[in-house]
Amino acid sequence: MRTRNEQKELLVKEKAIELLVRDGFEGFGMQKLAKAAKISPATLYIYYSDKDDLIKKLGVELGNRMSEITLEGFAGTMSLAEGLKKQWENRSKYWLEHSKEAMAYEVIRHSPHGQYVTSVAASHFKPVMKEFAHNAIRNKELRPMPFEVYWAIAYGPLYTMVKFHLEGSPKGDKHFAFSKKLMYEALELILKALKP
Amino acid sequence: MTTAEQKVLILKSNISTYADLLQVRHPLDHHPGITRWNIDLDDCDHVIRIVTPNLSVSDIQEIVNSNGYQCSELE
Repeated sequence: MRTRNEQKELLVKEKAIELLVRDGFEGFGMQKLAKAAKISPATLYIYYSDKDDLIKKLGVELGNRMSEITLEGFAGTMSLAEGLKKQWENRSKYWLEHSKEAMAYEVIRHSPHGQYVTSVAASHFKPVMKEFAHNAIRNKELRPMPFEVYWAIAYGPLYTMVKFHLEGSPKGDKHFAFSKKLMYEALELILKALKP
Repeated sequence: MTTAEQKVLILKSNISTYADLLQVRHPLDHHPGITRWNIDLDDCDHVIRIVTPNLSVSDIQEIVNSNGYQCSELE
């Protein structure tokens, strides 16, 4: 009988993340993954029943880790300035220190399994973020506005800067280096924009 | 049922379409020795995955062959 091997499982996940980032969901395959991880396809099928099973399980794991990192040291009861600072720190840390994972999770979120994955993973994430925004409105720190507008203003600039850092800026040749100093400067402007 | 006693059998097959799959679905669904099964139609080896406490690869081959398809252990 074949048995599970934790080391091998970790390698499989690592290679799956690499393949998803490189080839996308459509280009991803079990045979390709087995080859990349240097294991037999039969071994891979011991761990996962098929591609969809693998993508779903990996997606839930990545989603949980994303939420864990994003919520570290954060509470929905924090003030807008304090909480948003923590969120920016955590979210930029996640993208900069776990770039491949973050990109693979994006691929899965935009795949046919995206809805399943986001409904299972990070189930406690949304309520905390909602509580945070509602508290800020109640405490008159945040101007009431549709959720999408709030999200776009509160987090859009951060993700845009991180993207420029990872993929290059719109200026093209000049490499943009994201830094904490720039992050805090931008955050100050955002907090002004969100005030009632 | 304790999962510790379950083993996984992996076979390649020529069950390549959903219509083929329907031909073997009934015998696999109703076999008392099969806990769970699936066939990955997307894969080039059309992998059959069987979770069973006591069946062997040759038992699965027998079921699949008697329904008009071929399969063998995937190395």
